[in-house]
Amino acid sequence: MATQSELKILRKHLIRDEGNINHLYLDSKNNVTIGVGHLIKNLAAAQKLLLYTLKGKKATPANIKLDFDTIKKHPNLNRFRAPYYKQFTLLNMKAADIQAQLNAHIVNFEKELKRLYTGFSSYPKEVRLALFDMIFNLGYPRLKNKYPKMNAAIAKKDWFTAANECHRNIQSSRNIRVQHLFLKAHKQNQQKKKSAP
Amino acid sequence: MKRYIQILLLFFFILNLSACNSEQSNHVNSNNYPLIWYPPITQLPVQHPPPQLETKADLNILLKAKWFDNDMHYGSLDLFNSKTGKKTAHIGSCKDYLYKNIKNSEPENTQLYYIFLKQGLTCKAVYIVTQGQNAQHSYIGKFNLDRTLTNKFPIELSFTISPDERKYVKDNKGKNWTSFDTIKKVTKISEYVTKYNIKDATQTLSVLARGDFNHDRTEDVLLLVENGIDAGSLSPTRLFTLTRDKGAILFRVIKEYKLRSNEELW
Repeated sequence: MATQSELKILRKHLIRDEGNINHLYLDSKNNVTIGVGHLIKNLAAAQKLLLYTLKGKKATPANIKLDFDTIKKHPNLNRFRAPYYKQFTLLNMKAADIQAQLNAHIVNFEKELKRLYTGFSSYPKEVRLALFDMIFNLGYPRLKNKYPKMNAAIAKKDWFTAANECHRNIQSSRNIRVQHLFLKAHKQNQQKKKSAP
Repeated sequence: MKRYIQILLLFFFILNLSACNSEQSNHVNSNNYPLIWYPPITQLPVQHPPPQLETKADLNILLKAKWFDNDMHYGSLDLFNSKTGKKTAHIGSCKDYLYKNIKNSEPENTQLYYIFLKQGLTCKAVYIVTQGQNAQHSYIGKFNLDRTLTNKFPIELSFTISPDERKYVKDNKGKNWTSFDTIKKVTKISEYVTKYNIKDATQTLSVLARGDFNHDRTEDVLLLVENGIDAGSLSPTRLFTLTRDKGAILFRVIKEYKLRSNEELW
């Protein structure tokens, strides 16, 4: 299980990268979304969410259908930021529920990371944070199948090679941040080896 | 003697005819192929779009037009140095994307980064069209964004993420798109836009323009490729000019444009 300090960092990074929106909106790819980048596959999935009316009453499936259908009428096409959709919605999600949804995502990703890397729990904190960052962005299938060299290096706890193989088509600052995490773990390894009798 | 000349002329006529037939698959003829652009190129958050986009002058107005500057639209972005995190520029038009120094600059988060990439490359596409010209020759032939095209498009169009994949594509130049990914489903969005579903991801191709963009008098295609994965937020956009050589089946990448490599254009 991720430690409290790791959870805090992960939440902070996710909110920065995905935003934190308390109503339904369409992301730039026209996916219905809420909270911290929580993708809603269809109406049925939306109707499972805990949403509230402006008067604070728990939303009914019919209320949710109305919001869902209304925002769908305003395709994004890379034009609108999430707050644009506020004018078309009547429901919102409570901050505590958004946090719970985010925590559930983190738990889910951790399960997938443990499935992919058997020693995940024993890896240095920096490596765990780097892999969390990658799975959030790439998803489990792509992380598993598209990074054979990096995954082989991780299996051998070769953090230096992992640092060189973790590059993605993403903003430089995020690539650099993840690379530095692997390199920090590598340096710590080197120091341990030096100080060992 | 007269009969001999007639036979000789007939021989040359037949020879010429067979040469034409060998090119029939993709060589239309050597008439003039006009520079032409399509609606996806105009998808920019412009406040007051030019009333029409029929001439290069209209496109130049589009390049200079101001974008929405509020919290509702992706019309303006602050950029930060990717290493220091210090604010470096404010982007609010194509002119800003094209002429401000945005090297080593990027928006503050991933979501905005992909918007930045798509908008910047669309601006670059508009600029490329303004520099394009009519072509004298074309070997492109029938061009519909459908399933048949996947065998004719080059491997460079593939959705690569990791260094392993990029190396694979580099080592397999000359192969087609489907030699990297299996196309599972093809959905026509419009006459100019088609979505291709691959394993765990999608690639949406938009034809932005046709014309001669590298000034070799042969017709090229300007293509925007929007990639997205099903289970994550990774969604990089890429911009290519493609052409097809005489007698070739496979299209060839002339250039992939980088948003911040301004030296490619000026």
